[in-house]
Amino acid sequence: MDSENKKWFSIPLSKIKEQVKASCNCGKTSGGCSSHQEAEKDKRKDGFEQIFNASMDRRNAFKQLSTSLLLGVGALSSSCSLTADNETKEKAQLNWEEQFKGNYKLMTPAEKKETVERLVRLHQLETASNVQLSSEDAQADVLFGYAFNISKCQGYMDCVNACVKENNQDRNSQMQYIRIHEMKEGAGFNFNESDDNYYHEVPAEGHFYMGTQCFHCENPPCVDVCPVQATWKEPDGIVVIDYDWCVGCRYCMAACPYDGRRFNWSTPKVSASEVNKKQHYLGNRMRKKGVMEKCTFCIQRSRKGMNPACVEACPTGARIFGNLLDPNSALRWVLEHKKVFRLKEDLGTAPKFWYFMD
Amino acid sequence: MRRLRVFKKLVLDSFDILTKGAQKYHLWMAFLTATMLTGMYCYSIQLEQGLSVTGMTDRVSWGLYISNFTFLVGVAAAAVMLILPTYVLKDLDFKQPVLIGEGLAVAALLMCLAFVIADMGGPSVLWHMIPGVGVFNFPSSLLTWDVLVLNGYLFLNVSIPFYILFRHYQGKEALSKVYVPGVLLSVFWAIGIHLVTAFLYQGLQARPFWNNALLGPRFLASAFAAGPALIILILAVIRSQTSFKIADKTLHKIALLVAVAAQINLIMLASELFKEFYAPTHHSESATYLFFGLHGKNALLPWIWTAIPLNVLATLVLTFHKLRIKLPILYGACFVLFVAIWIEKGFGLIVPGFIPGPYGKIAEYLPTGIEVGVTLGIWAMGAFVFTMLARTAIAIETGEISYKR
Amino acid sequence: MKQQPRHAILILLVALLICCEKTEDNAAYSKISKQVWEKRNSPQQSLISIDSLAIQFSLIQVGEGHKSFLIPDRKSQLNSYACSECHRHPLPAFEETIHKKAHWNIVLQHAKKSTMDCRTCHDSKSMNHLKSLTGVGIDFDRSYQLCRQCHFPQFKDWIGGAHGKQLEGWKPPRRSMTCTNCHSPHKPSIEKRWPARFNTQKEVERKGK
Repeated sequence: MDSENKKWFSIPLSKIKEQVKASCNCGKTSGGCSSHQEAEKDKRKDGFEQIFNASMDRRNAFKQLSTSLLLGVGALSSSCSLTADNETKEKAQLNWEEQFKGNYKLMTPAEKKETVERLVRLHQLETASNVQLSSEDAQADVLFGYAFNISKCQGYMDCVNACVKENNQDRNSQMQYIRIHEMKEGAGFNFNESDDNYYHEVPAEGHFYMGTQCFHCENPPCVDVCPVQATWKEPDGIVVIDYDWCVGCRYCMAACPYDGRRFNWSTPKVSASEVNKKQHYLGNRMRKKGVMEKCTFCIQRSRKGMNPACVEACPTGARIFGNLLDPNSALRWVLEHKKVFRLKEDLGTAPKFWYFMD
Repeated sequence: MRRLRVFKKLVLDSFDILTKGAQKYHLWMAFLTATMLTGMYCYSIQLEQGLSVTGMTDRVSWGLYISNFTFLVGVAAAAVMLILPTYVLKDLDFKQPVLIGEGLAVAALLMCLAFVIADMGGPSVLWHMIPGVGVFNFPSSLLTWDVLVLNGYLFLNVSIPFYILFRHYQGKEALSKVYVPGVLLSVFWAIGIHLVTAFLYQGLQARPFWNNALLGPRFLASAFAAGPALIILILAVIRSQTSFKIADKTLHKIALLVAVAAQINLIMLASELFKEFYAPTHHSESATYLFFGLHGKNALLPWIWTAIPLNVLATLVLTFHKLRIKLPILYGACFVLFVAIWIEKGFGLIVPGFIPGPYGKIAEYLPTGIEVGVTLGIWAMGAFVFTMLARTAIAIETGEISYKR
Repeated sequence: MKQQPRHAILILLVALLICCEKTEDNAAYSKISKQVWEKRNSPQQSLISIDSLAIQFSLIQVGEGHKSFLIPDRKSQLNSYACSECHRHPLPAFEETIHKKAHWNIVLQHAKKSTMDCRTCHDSKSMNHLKSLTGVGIDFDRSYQLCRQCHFPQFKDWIGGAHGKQLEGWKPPRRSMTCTNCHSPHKPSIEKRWPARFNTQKEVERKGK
């Protein structure tokens, strides 16, 4: 029943169940058994049987069970509390529902809308402020790509700042998705000898600058290794994470060759005045501790036709973002007319982030 | 119904056995309990504040917990070294220690599961991994393979000894047609669990220190050296503390297995060292960091330069028959080998895989007190479980407890 | 006039929150170029969000070969245009009067004196226009035609989209900055500055324990 349209592997438990049913449960291994006769039930189906013997696949069954469980226990927990006020009860109810929701990738649009509403309401209850949380899907005929001009980058790190502010990253650990590496001219692309935390006048004499971040590979190793499919490649090419589905095993971090992923070792904190309220479910909404996050090509911006914050902030125009499927885009012109390369090309990850020079 | 009655009596008898014993036994269990409680307290701090209380960072994202997990999967797999001779080669000398070995496998597997849960950022959402209820990314993710094989192996190692002991408890012989298929399966399965665990690391093209063909076989060799070494030490303790009879011959045979596995382990180590250092490439940086330090960062040097010489020493001692035959020397060599391989597989494998990072940056790793506390707590839990299982099994085998109708 | 600086600070604060809407604020300044230079030279203003510069600029079409895109115009940004309002008389006549003060702050640091002087680009006979090397008139809105004479590789890159900064977003039609939006024609080189941040946590992580 689950053989077609399977997005994940499930063990055919039903087959095992059948085998177990076949063996006698009275302890005898051979010979007749009185319990066999008891199995002969009245063939007439009553209401009880109609509900309990209705065939449905496991997923639907669990969904129905869990929904009723959610509603039941949620109602129980919130209604049984005598001392909590309505707000706390509502928060408890919303948190409970959030805890047991499914993987975002498998949600129907209605479910997506529901979780967005819950998250917005939770944020409202917790901080008394509103956010705009979007669950906008990918547009058709769009595949995002990125080009980085090494000659133009002067090492200002304006992109790093913009990214941090746009994506609500933890301020305590100074999390940065972007790294700018200062390299010596004449030594090749020697990342070992490069400095990615310089603080002097830029551009420094005899050095050049290269920026790295998640490269949104077409063949992402992080997606392959996630045990729960909490990270995947969207149709428009952005590799995203469902923060509520991630279990925090950090296998994807070990698998990424480009230092693209960041982990929330503690609860991420952003001061209320600095929170960017224009959020996307898969992008810059507030994360919790113990989950992975990464650059999302500013999904909350790029799906609205805007450039990511880093592209926007770069004063020299070293960063170029666009639609790889549009033959007239600046990005395609760069790929066709400039000598482009990608990092660690031999690993077969096919990153969608190209470097070039003037 | 009868079986249930027998089971109930077994539980009561075991409880009886486990709560009685010499003062040494009680002290041992008390010590383990205290360590477990400390571990639980440390873990509660970790749950509260997040994994930032550990020494792990974005650079070295797997540390002490996963090191111990990797090592213990090997120890669990080593039970096969006893199962194989007993059931397949029908070597009677192994018939007694095999149950101890399987008990060790169970304890080691429970420790592995505990380490994985301790390492997770979101243990409350582990249900996301359950197939059907959550999303199980099989066969793409090696972690899902690991979940399957480890739980399967746990099931095998719980059910088969339980069946055998249950029968012995009732004074009956265990029927070979019931347990032998499972046993044969567990032989292959044991190789499988450690190979799958090795593939977790071997498959990552991003980490050249692990991305080589020898990692899986190396894991097996070191597991089959360290695991039986631990079994020898445990059997030595059991010999002296209980009335369970274990012949010298048995110990010598296991010692031979350890010696051969340790030699193969050293050959593989030599092969790796040659590959890394004959013509060092950019990919050899992790090995350079591990053995010689890199850019002045040399935190792992004392660890590896203790582990390798100890490993070589222990292997040499075990190679010579005249030395191996003397039990005190054997025990010493096994202990040294176990410690050396623990260091090598933990700090010598997991941590250097992350250093230097993808862009050559070095951030060193040192576990914090909380990490050490949780680790010791989990080891104590494993020892506790093993003591319980071994004590019950020995009691049944020696006839101390039995079901009298 | 005092309102403008206050407006500037307000809108810059909004810019820090990466507000993506263009606030319609006609009363504010209108020179993109000046703001870009200011922001680039002051590391405290770490974000340049062109959208949030609150500029009402009009876009003109540039077509070159197959490529066609939009750039901000120049004439609507000039405070004192047309130039011929002042420049009715030949230049030497102005040097004696108070008009000497106008454009006094423009220092030409663009190529050698033997390569360029004011008259290389400005047509003294027709001050409302620029002129090419061969004397052909070039409109102020199309000043890139001047730059392309010497900087042809950069011009080709700019047409393709590899040089210079894009405005507003990746969705077509492309809106690019033009040459003079970043490079002052009189002093085109870009000054050095300090980086926008320094990560202290990274240092802690790398120092080891």
